[in-house]
Amino acid sequence: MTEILTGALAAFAWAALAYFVVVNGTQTALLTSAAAALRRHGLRIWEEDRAGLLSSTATPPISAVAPAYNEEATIAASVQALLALHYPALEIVLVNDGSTDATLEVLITTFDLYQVHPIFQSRVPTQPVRGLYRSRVHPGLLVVDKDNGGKADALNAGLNCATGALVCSIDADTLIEPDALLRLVRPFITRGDVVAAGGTIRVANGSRVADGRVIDARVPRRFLAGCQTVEYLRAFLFGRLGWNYLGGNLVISGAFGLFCRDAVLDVGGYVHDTVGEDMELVIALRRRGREEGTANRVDFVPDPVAWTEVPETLRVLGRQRDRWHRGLADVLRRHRRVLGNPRYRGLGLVVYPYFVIVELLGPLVEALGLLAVTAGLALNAVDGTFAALFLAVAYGWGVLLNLTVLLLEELGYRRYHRWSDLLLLLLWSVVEGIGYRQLTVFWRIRGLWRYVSGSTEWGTMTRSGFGTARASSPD
Amino acid sequence: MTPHEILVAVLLAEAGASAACLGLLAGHTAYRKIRAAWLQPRVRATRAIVARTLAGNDGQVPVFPRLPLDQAVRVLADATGSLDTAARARLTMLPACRRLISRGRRWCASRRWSRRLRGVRLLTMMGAGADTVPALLDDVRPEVRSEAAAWMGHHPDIGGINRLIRMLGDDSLSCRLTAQETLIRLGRRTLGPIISHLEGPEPAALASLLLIAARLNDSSLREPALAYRTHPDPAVRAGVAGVLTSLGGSEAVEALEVLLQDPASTVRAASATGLGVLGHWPSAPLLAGGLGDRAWEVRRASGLALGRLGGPGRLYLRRGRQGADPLAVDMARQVLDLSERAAPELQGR
Repeated sequence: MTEILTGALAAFAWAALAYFVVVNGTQTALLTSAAAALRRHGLRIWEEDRAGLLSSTATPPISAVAPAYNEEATIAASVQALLALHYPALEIVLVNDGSTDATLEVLITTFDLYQVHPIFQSRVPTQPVRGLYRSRVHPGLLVVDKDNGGKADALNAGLNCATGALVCSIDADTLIEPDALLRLVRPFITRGDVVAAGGTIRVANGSRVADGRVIDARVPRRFLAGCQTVEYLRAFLFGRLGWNYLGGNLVISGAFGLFCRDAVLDVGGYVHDTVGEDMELVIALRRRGREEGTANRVDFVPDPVAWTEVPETLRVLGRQRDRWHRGLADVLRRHRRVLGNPRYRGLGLVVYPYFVIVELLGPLVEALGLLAVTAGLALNAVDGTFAALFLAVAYGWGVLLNLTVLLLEELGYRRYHRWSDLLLLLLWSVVEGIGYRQLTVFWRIRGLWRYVSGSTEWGTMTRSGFGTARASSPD
Repeated sequence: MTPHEILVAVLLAEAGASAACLGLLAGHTAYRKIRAAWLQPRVRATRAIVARTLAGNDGQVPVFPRLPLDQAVRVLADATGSLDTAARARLTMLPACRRLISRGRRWCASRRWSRRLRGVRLLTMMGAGADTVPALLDDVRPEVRSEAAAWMGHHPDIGGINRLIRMLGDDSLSCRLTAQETLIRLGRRTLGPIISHLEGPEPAALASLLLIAARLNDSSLREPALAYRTHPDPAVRAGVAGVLTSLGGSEAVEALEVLLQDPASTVRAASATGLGVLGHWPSAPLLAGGLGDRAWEVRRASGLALGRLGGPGRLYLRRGRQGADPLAVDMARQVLDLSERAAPELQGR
């Protein structure tokens, strides 16, 4: 019996080793691709005339759709910040998703809103729209007041009411840099086959914020926010950028993404019954484009930046990661026909399998690996030195990836100017693999388990706010 | 090698690579900070020289402090962003600017596309490049072609304008958009070439050309545009409606009323918008018919057009609101609800 167990453990150890090699190989390819993409991007934007775009007739109109729920404390500042974005043809569509506080009243008073009949082309079904409001002081502001239906429903209502050729989905509490839209629109005016583009999301915790802008970027001093800063840098600077050349992106952050409105409406808008609606939309857009031979490219653009506040407590972070993983599992199941299907080329043969094997099942393999090593050590089936070396190599690889991303950040963007911030980033890069990573593995496995057992709840996201009191809102 | 040895080797490699990363990171950060401190007074002095040169109150030719190329370009980019071509040319009296121009010319001849792109951008910034940039309108790289098209906006000539018009049919979207944008910025200088192309045997990119023509508001475009009112492409017919809208007159109204019955919804919507913009109130009954059109954009354009016609238009909107067609009722209500202040804004979209 022990021999069988020992044999099984040894076989598993080799399988885990093979998995480790495949995953790290892919990540190396992503990193190389990201470095190449960053360099190419740098060459393209050298001294480009973005100011010229402001007076250009070539810039397509953008409708920024921002859902809001119970955000009376911050909604006025958020909308002011959105109105101050630099873009020549910008419409702000704020969707009040049945707030139970005074969100709508604050908007009416602050922006001198007046009601117009809620008549619009309803191309995707949503909860009933109670009213449409326009502003006397900001003609580009449209407020949609509707019954509560969740974030996806609010975004769909915004899509119905928007008039821009492009729509930018924005979380009302995300801080967008003033010229971010001018940068994000680039793929749409340089290529004809782009349906969506996403920008970089950075962690705002610890930074100085004034008037809806990050005026002094700082690295968070708290452990959880610090580790997430490194995690976000890694996810955006090499994860998403790397995919630009290796089959295209599968995720555009719901907090800051730009889409062709018609294409989104053609696929039925955001799906209601999933917690991964942003990823679902991107796959649906890519699938439809491939199937119908129309535009289907999804680009990641590294230089437009939006800042977001990340959770700083284990409870809230755990819920967020749990939900993200449930969303991932659900979306990958919904579109399972894409997996390995040559009809979808890079999407079916490279990107999708990567997301299934590494992103979805990765936590499971990691956890099983750790269990197997522990069991193997207990049964003397695994050599202790080998196990220690293997763990050290795995940890070292994580640190090396983080350091490379920090180097890319320093060479490409340099958002953090102080030595103290750099040292903090280094610290978080080194300690992120000890404790934090294992916690995220646990939460993701919990998410997978809850998905299998049928949970579809969102949970509550609590934010402390950028220097002001912040209400709770569904994330 | 045993598995242990392999793992040790990998671990050592990781440690080495991490150390290299750390070294590069720290080195680059330190270099950047030292360089910034060293550059600060020089950049300030250079800015002052550029400002004095542009003001023209400095008799002698000033000498720039030594600056790295990227910084010199940055300072000049900041200075030239809001200058016209003549003021940019004034900067060429500075030796440093002349050096940048000759570098830009060299880059334009480079085999690397990124250098050629930089070259065109640098020469655009400096208001130079008449001898090198036009050839790049036929570059193999769309990035370079597009940038050269933008350069033409500052140095127009008939040959260049004709080339820009041909570029409206370029394979690359960025080239098409830049050519269109540049032609619009050039304004009336493009009139002759546009008419020639419209009257030519095989005009390309007609829809874009008509879009630009609509911005020129010149009556000599009426006949060439009207020749395409039965073109098979709806985008071209919509373009014709746009040109007619910009010109006005009874002939234009007559043609727009015919286009209001076009099978393509984009054309019907463009015609309705045109009739509204021209304020031709006798067309109100026709536009009222558009309130019940099966296409949303036509209903919307018709409603807004009626809104712009004043009293007669509002009369038809009120009738539409009380009619039996729910589509027409909805649109009429929406338009009647819009305040006087919001309506022009909506019209612009």
